[in-house]
Amino acid sequence: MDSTVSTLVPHLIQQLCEQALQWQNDAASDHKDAWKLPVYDLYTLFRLPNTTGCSPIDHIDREAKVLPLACEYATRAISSFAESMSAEIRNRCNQLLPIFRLPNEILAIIFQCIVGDEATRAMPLRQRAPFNVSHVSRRWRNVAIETPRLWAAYDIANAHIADIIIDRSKHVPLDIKLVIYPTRYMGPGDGDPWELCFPTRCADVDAAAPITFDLLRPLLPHVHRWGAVVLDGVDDEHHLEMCLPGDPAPNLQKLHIIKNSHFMDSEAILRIPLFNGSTPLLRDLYLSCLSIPLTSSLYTGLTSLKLEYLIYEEGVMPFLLTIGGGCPLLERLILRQVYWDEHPQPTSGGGNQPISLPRLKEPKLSRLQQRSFYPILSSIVSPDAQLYIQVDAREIESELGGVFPLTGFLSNIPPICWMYFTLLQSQPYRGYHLAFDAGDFARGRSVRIVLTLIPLGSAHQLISYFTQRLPLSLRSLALEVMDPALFVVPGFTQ
Amino acid sequence: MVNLVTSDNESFTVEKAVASRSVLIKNMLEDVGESDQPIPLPNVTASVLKKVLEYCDHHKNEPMPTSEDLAAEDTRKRTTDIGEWDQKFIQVDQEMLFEIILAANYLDIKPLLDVGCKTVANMIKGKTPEEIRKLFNIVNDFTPEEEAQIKKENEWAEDR
Repeated sequence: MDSTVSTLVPHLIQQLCEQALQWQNDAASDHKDAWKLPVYDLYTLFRLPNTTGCSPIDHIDREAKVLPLACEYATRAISSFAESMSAEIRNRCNQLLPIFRLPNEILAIIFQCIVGDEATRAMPLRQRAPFNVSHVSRRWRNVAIETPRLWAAYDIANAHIADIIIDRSKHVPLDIKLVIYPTRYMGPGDGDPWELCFPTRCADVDAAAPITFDLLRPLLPHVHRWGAVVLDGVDDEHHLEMCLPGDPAPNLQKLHIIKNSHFMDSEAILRIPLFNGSTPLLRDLYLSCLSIPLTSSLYTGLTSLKLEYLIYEEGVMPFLLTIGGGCPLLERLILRQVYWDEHPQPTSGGGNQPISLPRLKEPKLSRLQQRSFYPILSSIVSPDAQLYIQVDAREIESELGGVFPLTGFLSNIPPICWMYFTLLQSQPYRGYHLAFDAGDFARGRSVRIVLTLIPLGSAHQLISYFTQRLPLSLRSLALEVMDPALFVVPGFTQ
Repeated sequence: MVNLVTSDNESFTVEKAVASRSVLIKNMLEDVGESDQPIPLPNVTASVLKKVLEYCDHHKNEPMPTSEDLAAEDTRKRTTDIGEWDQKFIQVDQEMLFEIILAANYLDIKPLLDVGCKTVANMIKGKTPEEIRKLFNIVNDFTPEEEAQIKKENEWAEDR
């Protein structure tokens, strides 16, 4: 049947179209009879052969039954051909457009530029970018589908069509981001932690229903293709075993696991297969509320390590020694609300064992115990680091000197030649944030210290504390968003 | 100085440093050595070459992208950030924009190709398929079967 119509239908339509075209071109001719249906000699036109030997009456009945079926098929075949032909004509029309002069490889580059930008609340369509471009025209669709990088992002938005994503992304490492249950609080330390902002409760956290963890299941046979994994809100032990399975992850470069609670015993953590120790390309690790033992091979080769909301049974110095020995390539180290059980004994003479992290550029310490700052800052040797320290004013146990080393404290920090103070008041929390950047312009090295949640009444005392301890090497001082009244203190007369 | 001849037979005499922003021309110059022979550019018209040379002249003192840069670009995420001067330079009508991209591709001027591609990407970004079609006068040329597949792909978005 297919072969009959595939020959006849195009021939029929072409001949009719040619005739119609001729009628349209021939202005002189009379068109009124052009589309009049022909009159057939129905008696002699055709008779179907009787191959079964049935009676003539039965044969006529069969003829009567089969004719509508044949007509229906013919109608569908003509209709389908006409639709395809119409699409082809529109495609030919597109080929004449200026944008269709761009070759496929350039279109592919353009499409990749579009998906490179993260989607935002304001621009949610960016998340659909691969689909949007693949729904424009047939050629764009073919180019988009043949550009695996467009389909590498796997998130809650497209997880329902996992098979399409996995298929179209071909060999490209998958960039997986699943928010199972959003982290409850945004605050200093989330996003850009060094901006001055107060903790804010996620507005829609209660409304957000936890999505099913099953969305990760289609990816489990493809662990070898995982390039980046960001899982927010993983709390179940079984889920952790699933997202850190025993299969090797030779392409995994980024792993962010954000749990919402601490509660998980160490034996359960030891049961997590952790890719069977095979993550040779892992460079960026972020663990929140999940203390994977520091001896794990996950840490080897890291250039970026962020640990938050963790409690270690060991002391801060063994911790640092393990990090120093295990992650020699580390460039970014962020420790936020990490606690060590052992009470360290700070030695004022800087007697701690030096820990060399020669590539460290951004050590960021946020809301640690006050007693932990000294051993960390006095041990890590990082010649070119820009140091960031963030402290919650309410958690300062004794005097500020242990936290804010202005003079002679660290060999890592050059003499402070300039300081830049910014003070912000936040009405909802009735408190202040104070940030100061200090350092040496000439050498381009600095320290940024952010003190958050300073009670309203304490701001004056705090400013007074700093101004009375300004380093002698200071040459330049800038104040931004400051109440001048706060600086009527003796220290500024230097 | 280097003499370039366009497809519409117009000659442009430019500094070697400017012409050498094009890897194609740079290689040609290296192959033929010192010569007064004009270099034919059969795929570029005068109006387009004029724009391309304006770009090359502005960027003539910048370092050329190395092979390492190009290799790194293949693996990292592409962005749509464009420098201020480049943004003003590329404010041309659609037809000229595509011609500049084609010329940059032919002449092998990677940074100009990037600027062109990013500009088109910025035009498309955040738009629905229908809005994109309208922008470039593209006609929907899908067959009913392809439309059905697209509808299926769209269902996930409507389910959210």
